[in-house]
Amino acid sequence: MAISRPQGIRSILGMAQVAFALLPIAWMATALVSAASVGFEPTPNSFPRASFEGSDASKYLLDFMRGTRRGVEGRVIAVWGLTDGKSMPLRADGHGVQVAQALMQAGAKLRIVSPHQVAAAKTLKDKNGQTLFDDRVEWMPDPLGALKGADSLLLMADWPEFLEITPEQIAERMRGRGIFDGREALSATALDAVGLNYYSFAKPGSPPWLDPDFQAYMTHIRETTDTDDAILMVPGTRLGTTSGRARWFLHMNYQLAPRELFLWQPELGCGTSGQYRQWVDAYNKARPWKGVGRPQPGPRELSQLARNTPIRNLSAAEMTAAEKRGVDSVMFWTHNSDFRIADWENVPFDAVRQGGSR
Amino acid sequence: MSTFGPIIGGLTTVILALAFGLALLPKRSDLPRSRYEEYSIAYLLGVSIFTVGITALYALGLETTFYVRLAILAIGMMCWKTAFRREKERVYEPLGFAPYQVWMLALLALGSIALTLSWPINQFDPMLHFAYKGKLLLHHGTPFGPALSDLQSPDGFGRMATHPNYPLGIPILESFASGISFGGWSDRWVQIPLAFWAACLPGAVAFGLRFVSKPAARWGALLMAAVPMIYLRDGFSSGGLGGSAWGTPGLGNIVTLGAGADLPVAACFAAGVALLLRAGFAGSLRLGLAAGFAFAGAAMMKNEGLALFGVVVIAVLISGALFLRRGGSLFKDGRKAIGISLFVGLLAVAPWLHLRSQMPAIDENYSEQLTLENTLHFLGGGEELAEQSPKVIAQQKTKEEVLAELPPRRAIVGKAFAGTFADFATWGPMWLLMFAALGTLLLRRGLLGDPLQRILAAVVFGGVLMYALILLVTPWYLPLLLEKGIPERLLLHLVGPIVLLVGWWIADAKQTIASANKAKAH
Repeated sequence: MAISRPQGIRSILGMAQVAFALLPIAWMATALVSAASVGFEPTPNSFPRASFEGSDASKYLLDFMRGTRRGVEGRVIAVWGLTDGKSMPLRADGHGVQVAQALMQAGAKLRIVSPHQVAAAKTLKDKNGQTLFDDRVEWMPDPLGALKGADSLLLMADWPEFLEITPEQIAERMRGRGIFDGREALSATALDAVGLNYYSFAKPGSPPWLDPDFQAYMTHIRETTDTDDAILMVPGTRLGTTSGRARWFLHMNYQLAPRELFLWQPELGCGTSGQYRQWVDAYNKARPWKGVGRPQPGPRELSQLARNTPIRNLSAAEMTAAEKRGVDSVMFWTHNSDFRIADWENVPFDAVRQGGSR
Repeated sequence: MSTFGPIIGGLTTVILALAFGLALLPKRSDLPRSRYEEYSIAYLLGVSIFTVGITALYALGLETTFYVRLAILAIGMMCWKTAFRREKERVYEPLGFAPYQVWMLALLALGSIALTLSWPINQFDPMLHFAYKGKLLLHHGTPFGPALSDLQSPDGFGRMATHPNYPLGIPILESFASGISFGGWSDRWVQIPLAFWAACLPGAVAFGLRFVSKPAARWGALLMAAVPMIYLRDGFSSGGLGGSAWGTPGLGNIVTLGAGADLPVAACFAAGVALLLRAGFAGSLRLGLAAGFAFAGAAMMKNEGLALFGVVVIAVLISGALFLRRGGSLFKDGRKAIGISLFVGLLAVAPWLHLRSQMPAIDENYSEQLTLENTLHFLGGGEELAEQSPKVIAQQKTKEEVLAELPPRRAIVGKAFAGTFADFATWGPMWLLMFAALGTLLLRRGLLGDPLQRILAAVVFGGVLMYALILLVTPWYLPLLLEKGIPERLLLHLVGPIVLLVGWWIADAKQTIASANKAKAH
């Protein structure tokens, strides 16, 4: 024994501790192989897959749809998949089933594509013994067929036959433009390019800075601004979420340094989750977007969704702050936990100034 | 961007830090050590000197311009020359590890370095709390300026910074590595100077225990290298092999390695305590000076380093090591050396305290929270701060409903600590060993045992107590903090002194010290 002479229980306990070295050795070997397999660059795929929780997702979707002109009642929604795996048993309390049922009960017309589960779905019953899906649901065998004339697409499973379908094929067939993704499996940038509105209701497993759309936008800003530029960041409209992931400005501040990024009340916006919630609350009470008007949107460099622009005129306080700090541009955004290029626009300050302030 | 430049910059920073550390260590003939111990302790000491020195430059109003970086490089080269000229006979005194032990230590050390560099900086805290400041230091050459101080302008608008008053040690290392390279900022290669903490910790502990005995030093190194927490946490506890640590190996907040600040605090603090023990035993004023720098280095890595230094000061005072005349392993010069380490530590953190006083604090002020009134309130059964629960804020539950589900704060803290102590997948049986070592010390040797052992025990006990008290009075919603692994991350800072204590206890070297003292007396 090279450590020391055996000294009873002490040495045994010591050796037990030393034996734990096997754990980090095995873990490091696994981690190094894992890193090498993706070229030593983390991607969203390096993390657990995005998923959604039935009641949260239902609430998000219903709130969102009710806030639109189309509403929920009578909205035709193509639903791709109800479960993670094709052969997974359907359960009444499954997340996908909960979402579909909530939409159906709110009056939406569902076209569900889940060919292997039709028989099982028709026999699903709730706690009171009532059938979960009734005649308001149409069971479709073909994902493209379900899109014809649909107002929205709801993706709840990332099966290969869904992911093979191109954004162009989707855009051609749909009447509406809303795509709701519960798996973060579709490309927001590609959908945006064909004029479709992408919304994710998934909880991502990967950190925000790995979001491909965020990275694309950062590359765009780096290419179109100088490193000594100053940028004022202002939300285009009411902040609709207190989700921590919606603090994209924090990650931009790091990614774009040494560019100077200015924010309203940064001590709260960059603080703890409690302080951040106060910041959202304070912004929504201050309402600098109220009554300032919106300039006519010009052509956008990245997003095709010109009508979705977050651009607005600045309030008097914002204009003064921008002038005082000599900002080069103003970055407008719509406060969402999912990063969508359509939610962001960086406008040269001169162009913003022409819009005036009130 | 070329990869070559940032790699050279990172390696240059490492060599520079080593040079500073080697130059300050006493000659090998005066202080026997193996190459492994020397390079481990020299790196941690050098990083401390480097970060303390540059923080002092900033406090004096100087900027780290290109020429200042060149001057620092020149000083580093002089330090190399001094260190190597002094050691003409490169005689090391190996510790005598068995070959399988050498393999184990080498695998863990190389694995930890490789894994740190295998991913670019990819966690929230390392990115936003530290690397952001590194970029600012690289481009502006100073922490002064609106980027960190314009958080609270009168018109409401300002610059974003998460925790502007966090210390600058890690940003200094990252910005220097980047600034000396001509290659620009690289999220991967700025981590080169940050890749050696786990590799150096076992060597630093061995260095600290060598005066006890070689077996104690070997035990110390092996025990330290085998603590899973210095590489990862939550090894098996979340879902076994499919859990987070294995599901995304090397990524996410279950990893301790990387560009975060908890491991560097632990490493520099371990070096400080190891140097303090050797300084006390050898009566070396030079080592006392080195220990002071290492303690200050810990304070440069994270604010907790300051509090840990406070614990050391209190531990030395209550141990009576400075004024009780009972020999043990401590002689008169040893007391002087320890005194010098505390004095130098205080001097070395002063520039940072000066800088810190000029930076806005975003949301933490524990010195204000840690009052007797607060402590007694929560010890007496004070309720959790339920109004800060996310569910209460989101109006999904009332404060009363949340409180009905929660025990008093003291029970939450107690449970969190008990859970940490029993988390073998993260710590191995380290806490069990620590309690056994502390218990033996108290029961068998009494409080008047060896003075250095008393200091060590007081640092361990005081450190754990301090963190328990901090959690007890934290002004935030504790269940949310516990989700982020806060107790583990705090207790990691104490891993050095704990393993020093345990290694000493396992080797049970009472006789060895006694004979060493006799030899010294003659």
